[in-house]
Amino acid sequence: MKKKMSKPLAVILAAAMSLGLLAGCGGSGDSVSGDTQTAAEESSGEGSNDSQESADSSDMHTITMALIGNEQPRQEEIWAKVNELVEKDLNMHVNFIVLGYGDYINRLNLMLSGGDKLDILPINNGQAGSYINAGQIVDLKDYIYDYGQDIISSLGEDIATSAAVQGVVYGTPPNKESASRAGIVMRKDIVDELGIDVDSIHTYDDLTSVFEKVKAAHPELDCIAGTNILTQVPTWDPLMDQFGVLPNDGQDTTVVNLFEYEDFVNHARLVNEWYKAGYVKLDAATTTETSQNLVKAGSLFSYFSPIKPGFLAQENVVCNQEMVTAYIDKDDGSVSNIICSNNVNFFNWGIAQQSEDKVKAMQFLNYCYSSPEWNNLMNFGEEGVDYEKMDGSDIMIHYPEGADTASLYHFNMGWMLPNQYLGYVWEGNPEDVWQQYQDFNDSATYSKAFGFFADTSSLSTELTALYSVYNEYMNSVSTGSVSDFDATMKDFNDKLYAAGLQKVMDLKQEQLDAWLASQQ
Amino acid sequence: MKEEKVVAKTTSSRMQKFKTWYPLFLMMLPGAVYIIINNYLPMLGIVIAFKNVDFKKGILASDWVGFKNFEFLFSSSDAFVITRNTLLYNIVFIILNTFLGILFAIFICDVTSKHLKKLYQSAILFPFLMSMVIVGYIVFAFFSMQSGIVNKTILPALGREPIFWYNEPKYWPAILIFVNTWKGVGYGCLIYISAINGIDPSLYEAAELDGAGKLKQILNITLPSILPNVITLTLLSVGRIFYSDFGLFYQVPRNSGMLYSTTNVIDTYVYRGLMQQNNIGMSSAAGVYQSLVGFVLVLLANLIVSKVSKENALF
Amino acid sequence: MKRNRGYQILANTVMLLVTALVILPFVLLLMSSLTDENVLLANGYSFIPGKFSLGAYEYIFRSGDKIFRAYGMTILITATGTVANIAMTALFAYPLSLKKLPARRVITFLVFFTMLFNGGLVPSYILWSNYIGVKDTVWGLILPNLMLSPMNILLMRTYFETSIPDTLYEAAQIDGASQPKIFTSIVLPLGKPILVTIGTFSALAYWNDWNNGLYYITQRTDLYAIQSLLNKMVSDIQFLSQNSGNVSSDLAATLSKVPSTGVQMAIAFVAILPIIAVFPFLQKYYSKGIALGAVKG
Repeated sequence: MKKKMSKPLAVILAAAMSLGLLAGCGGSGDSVSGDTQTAAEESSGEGSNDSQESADSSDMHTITMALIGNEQPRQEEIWAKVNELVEKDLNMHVNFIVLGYGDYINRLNLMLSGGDKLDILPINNGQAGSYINAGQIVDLKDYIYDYGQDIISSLGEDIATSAAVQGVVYGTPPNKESASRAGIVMRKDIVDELGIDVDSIHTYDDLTSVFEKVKAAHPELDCIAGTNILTQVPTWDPLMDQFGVLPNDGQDTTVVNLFEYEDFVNHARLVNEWYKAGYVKLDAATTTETSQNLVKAGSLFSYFSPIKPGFLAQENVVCNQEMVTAYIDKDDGSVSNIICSNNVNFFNWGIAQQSEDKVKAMQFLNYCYSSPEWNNLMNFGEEGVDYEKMDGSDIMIHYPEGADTASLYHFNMGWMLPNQYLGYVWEGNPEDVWQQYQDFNDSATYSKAFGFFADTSSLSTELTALYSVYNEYMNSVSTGSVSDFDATMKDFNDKLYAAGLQKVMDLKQEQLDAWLASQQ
Repeated sequence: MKEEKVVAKTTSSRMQKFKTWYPLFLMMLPGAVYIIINNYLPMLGIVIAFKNVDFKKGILASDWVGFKNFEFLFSSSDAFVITRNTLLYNIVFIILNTFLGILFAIFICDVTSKHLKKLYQSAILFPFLMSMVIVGYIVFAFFSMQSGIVNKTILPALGREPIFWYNEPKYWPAILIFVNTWKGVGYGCLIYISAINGIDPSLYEAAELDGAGKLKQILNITLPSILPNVITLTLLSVGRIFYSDFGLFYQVPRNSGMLYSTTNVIDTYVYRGLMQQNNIGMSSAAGVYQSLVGFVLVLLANLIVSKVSKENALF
Repeated sequence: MKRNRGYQILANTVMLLVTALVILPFVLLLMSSLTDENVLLANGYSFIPGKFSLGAYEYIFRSGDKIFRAYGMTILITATGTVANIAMTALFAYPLSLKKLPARRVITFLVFFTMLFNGGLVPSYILWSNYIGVKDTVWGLILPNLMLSPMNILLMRTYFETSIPDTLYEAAQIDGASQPKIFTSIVLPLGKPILVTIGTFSALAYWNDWNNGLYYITQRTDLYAIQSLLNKMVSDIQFLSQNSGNVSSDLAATLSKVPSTGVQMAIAFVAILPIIAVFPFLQKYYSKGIALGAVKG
């Protein structure tokens, strides 16, 4: 049947294709162009943001910048103001695209693949490798030195160029607190009621007795939940994907398997004991509720979280009650506070391959790192409308008295916008928060592999299998919800090795050794 | 085909033929144009499966890598499990949805009360309206180990111990099959309803006069009349036998790792493996592989059908 | 009729059971969305709200006219798209149902082929967005993917082929009727059951679609249809709660504002409410097609 069909099939297909192409272009071209016109009219009637484009000088270069965050009320007005500013300072225009947390990966991927108009984009460290590999983003190294002086001066040269995969700098990190000191966040009322001595909690082991007390007094409460119990206090440098890590706060330079690493296995065993004792939420591995919501609902006692300056004030609001925190450190009691490549470079600012003028894009990015006005406008909106200065302070700001906060612009993405250190400080934070962040970073232990990014793209077949195994076991191991711990860990590791873990580790080791040698 | 004979005929009969058929081809033109634009032109993208795409060079100019992008589908130890799961689930789904779809359609068409008929017809369509994410929540509402209705209310009432649903793979084939039927049976059912409604009522009247019972009427009139629809629908499902409803296998078991032995299918495997990697070549390869298997199977199935009864074959 | 009494009881019992099975989850959905968030989290889901609350709905409708505008968009695209879909499907399926149509098997095969193979998302995105230019227009929601389904063509073809007797066409041709005339006076009236069925599928596909919004609407978010809007909320929530384990302190602040499951239940309910309301009115169109005799006479 197939043979008989193939010839007429080919002829018809060819004919139909050429015919369809003509018809398609003619027909749909008409209708669509007609409609885009009306669409444009509509939107310009509505407002403000299009006025910027049609404003005046058509020779002015327009930068398209993608952001991640929530759409804001009044964003068109704010963006018009941003444009006034950028026009004055740089003689450029800027056009923003706001992506959501849940869809940014998909959308950026399409925009990059489709060659849409795009200059500057946020790059999550998890995607960086594939973007580089597919030639979707620009190597910034030379651009930074030539046009990014302000980036270097605000971040320091090491940090500014720290996102380098095999020498390709894919983006510049925002100025933020990067250290990852973490701990446990607990309900204060219960802590007080049971007389728990918060100051005596330093290690995972210390928590066992706390949970025991809580469970005895409040059997209806889950002591702990979340899939981050094991990974929130890392004593290793994950080298991005956890497949092959550097132990001892990244001070050892021999790549080992995390899931056989003593610290990890011991903690995992402990969490498994917690689970069996009923301390861990039964559904911890599958729930989609955040721990904060569970605390608020009164069904959870504590959870792990990164703890940074100003953290507790924010958390009290979220949990709708007073909370207390204790840092969890290494088992020997020494401080666990490590900075790895992926802490600093969580979301970086990169330039898309299709950018029409990469120099202008870099100049714009440089400007974003140097202009307090730009950062304040983008982050908090317009002074006097969206925020006002607190009495007696030049730097502290809050919502205007009596304003309807739901209708105000409050992007509040300081941790992602290039340089929040230049801007105001929102109410509730300490006044010297930027200095505290800086001190916090300075006090951390830098991994020996800080600034190193492995390029494992040649092993994508193995990585696919590894991710599959990882997904199969990780959540249940992290929440302790396995019945036979040792057997599960053995299966887990056997499957990882079968999937090619050793190959990935060897490749990382090889690249790391070469990188370390080049650093000396 | 009759082309050879046509050639012998005079040009005027060709004109005749053209005159007969051109209005019909004209009717098909909008659809044909749409299919070419929406389906055939992007199909050039299948080359992506065989390339290491570099957008600096453009898709077409990127390097060929042969079948390298396909390796990950076969190299892992999960390859057998995901293939087995995908196939078995789909076979069960096809059988169950066809059987229940026809059964419900017959019942609905035969119900004499107009109000009840409307109620049933709306009801079978309802699950269409619910996305799999939400279905996942509802299943969780029943089976959550801590607060689910089953563990909290039903099992204690029966004096049974709670069950760790999300840790035990053995319960999931039943749950997934139930959910799929719950959500999917309405689709075929509606097609069958319309087919049954299209049957000439005089056939039934005649049978009634002959004293044929309900069962006999169903066997002798209804089923043969809707058989072509059943075959079309089944062949279409066979073509997609290597695909699975991603939401069903990902959202409903809540991505619980311990359930993979009975919930992991090709689509979820590909998603989990490539989520972090964004590898367009490999995801394209997975699609090509799934399509190809479905294509071969459907050609075989169609061949068998056309051997048995030629007019019922799909093409 | 009397003879069939037992059969009627059987049919009704089975269908009532099915109906209950179908509707119960919706009741649970509604009840959970009306339960106080904290009670829901602490006690789990229940058919009877432990504590009644409209909080979840307040959360959704805080965005105000956005929701209503999105409803409007959804209705617009569903109506336009469905009409176009039915028209194109019927126009394509009717010739294909004629056994004597030249190249019939080849065309059928070509239609079927598109159900199996596709070039993937990126090529179709490039085509629709860069070459045809539907990006950030209402056409981006209507044109790509949804306007014609090969599956529907084949189903309708089969229906026409089996349910419309050839003798009717022959009689009409002897009377000198043109093809358009045959199409409007025989095919459409007799094909009503399948037209309504396919129309329903198409309308539901448009109503439930959020992919086109995700891919083709980037800056003109005022064009979002209701499902795009709601799906964006849900996907943001999911991303944030699922990544809560692995994020640095950066996301923690954002995470804190994530609404809980109750809101998602309410979102799901808001999305389907209008269509549930419309359903009963659609039902009369499912009734039998015009009896054959009427056309013959």
